[in-house]
Amino acid sequence: MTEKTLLDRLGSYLDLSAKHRKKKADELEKIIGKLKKKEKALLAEAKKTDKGKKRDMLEKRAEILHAQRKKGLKALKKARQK
Amino acid sequence: MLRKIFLPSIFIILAWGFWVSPDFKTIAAGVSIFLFGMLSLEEGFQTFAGGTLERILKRTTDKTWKALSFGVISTTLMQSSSLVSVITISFISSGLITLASGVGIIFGANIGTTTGAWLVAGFGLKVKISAYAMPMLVFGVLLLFQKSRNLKGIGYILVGLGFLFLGIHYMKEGFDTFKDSFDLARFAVAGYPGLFLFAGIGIAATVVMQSSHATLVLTITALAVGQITYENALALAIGANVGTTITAIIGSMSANEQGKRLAAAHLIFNMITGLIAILFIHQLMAAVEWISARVGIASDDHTLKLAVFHTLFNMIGVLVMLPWIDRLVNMLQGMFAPKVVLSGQPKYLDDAAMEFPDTALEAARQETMRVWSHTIDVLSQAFGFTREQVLSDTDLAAVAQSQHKLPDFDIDKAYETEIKPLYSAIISFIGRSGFSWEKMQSEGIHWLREANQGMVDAIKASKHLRKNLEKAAGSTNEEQRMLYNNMRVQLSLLVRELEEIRLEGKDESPVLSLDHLRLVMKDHCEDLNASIAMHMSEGKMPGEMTISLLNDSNYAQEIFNKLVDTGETLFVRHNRTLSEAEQDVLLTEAELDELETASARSE
Repeated sequence: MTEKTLLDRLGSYLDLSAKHRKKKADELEKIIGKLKKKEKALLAEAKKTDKGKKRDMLEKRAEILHAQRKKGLKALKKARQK
Repeated sequence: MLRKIFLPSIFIILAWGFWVSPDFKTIAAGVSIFLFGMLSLEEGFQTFAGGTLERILKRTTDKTWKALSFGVISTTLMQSSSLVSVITISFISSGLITLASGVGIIFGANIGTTTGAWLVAGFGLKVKISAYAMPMLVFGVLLLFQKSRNLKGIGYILVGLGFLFLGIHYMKEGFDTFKDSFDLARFAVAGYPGLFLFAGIGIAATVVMQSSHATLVLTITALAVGQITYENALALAIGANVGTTITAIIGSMSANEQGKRLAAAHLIFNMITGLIAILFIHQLMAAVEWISARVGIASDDHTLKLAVFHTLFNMIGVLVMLPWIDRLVNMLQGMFAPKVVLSGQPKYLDDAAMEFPDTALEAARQETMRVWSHTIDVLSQAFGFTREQVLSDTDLAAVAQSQHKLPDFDIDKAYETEIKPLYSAIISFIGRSGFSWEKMQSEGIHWLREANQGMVDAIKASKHLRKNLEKAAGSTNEEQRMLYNNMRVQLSLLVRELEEIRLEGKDESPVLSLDHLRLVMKDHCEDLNASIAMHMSEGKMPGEMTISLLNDSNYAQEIFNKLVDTGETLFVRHNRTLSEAEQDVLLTEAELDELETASARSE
């Protein structure tokens, strides 16, 4: 292993903020994935439900999920920037 | 009565032994030093175990083979099946692992404990062990004086190992000189009478010392100097195996029925294993000879052969009992029926759960969930409904409209009998547990305290609200009646929502539930405030009534806030602070408002 490679590896090992950002990005990806899955499921259930309070509630929850996903995607983009 | 005379009797026997024989004094001191070493080792492992071990245990015991492996590895590392039993009983008592997993761990611990015999026979007797003990003691004691918890823990482990080795050294020395003055081998009993007699002695010695390791080490050191015969040593090992269940039995006394079931499983397994060993002793001895020849153990090395025998009969016991785990669990569940607990009495806060921080936290959480269940009962009835009506799809507005008198309900009595005793028990339990909690556990305890306080505050506010709810139900002023009905319906619907979130379980994303809860609360509060504002502006109520309504809407607001905070803690955050990523996804108040506005526009 050359000195430069060794120093680079040591540097990336010690670069805690990059590690922290990567960990956060990984977690955000997981959360966004879960939210997307849940949003699809809620919209599908809302389609099958008759108009009324229950359908309104399902659609409202799907809207919240959509808003959270959008926000999460922005946060993910920021976390991935160096 | 027996307990009162037991300890003095032991003292008298020991004192007589010391007076009669200084060599017996050396052996007894060796045993004491060995036992103290085990206590130090346990103390050391507990330092590191607080949190890490429990997390591993929760994740690695969902299948029988995993539970078995965990039992083997943890007992081998900690050299104490007693500690593993106590941990398992605590975890089972608090519901963190199942009985089947616990039984698997105990089976594995029985195999793991046999490594002790290998260590002593293979290493302890072959080298000048005190040479290793002394530096360990010196460094260990130095570390004990350090402030760092981890260094102290390492210190306890080193000191424990040092005393273990020193104890073995003194036992060896003691038996070496003892044989010159008194030949125990003269008392050897051959055949089955000897087998049963020495197995009985092994059981008794292990029960007194509460350590099968100590009995085995004594046996091995005595065997090494020819103070007992090989056959009698095998019987002592069988007895030690049965006697070790006493630790689990003692530990289960302060546990609930789950802990008692595990202790019974331990006893049943070890007795069956002991019985197999006794019935097939000759076949096992022949197997030991065969294995020893294959692995290169000398034919006169009886100490190592004893270690082989110990491992062999425990492994056979596990192989025989493994296919019967499910049947054993069913039988135990039938034998130990759950204790009937009155609703105002704690169910999970027993001494066994207090052994470790994670089990204490889980027990407190489970008890808090019971407080939540009682809170639903109390609030439902305070608002004039039944629990079944609130938690089903019942049209609460229609029910409220049909009521001209609220069903009788003594909220003070309900609080005193159902809520306060549990709340007090939880706070007292948390206070009694003298742990140095890890950060995550401290957070959990803080959130649980907050959740309990929140429920109590909500009930107290509902008590104030109830007075006017009762008056309004029978009021001739339709506006007043309608407003108060709306108030209690909205509050009950919030309880319904929170139960739905609770039942969705841990799979549901906490951030979704959190934002949804906040939006639901906004909706309920806005509905309530809008209807109050409308009726006030139309002047359909006299001034006094309006003031009461405004005060009561404050109580309603307080109940909303407390219930939502409680729900957040218990069902959404699950007693933890949200991670950074989760917080980034949560919507702000402004974003929620925007969402509401956009949604209203699209309607």
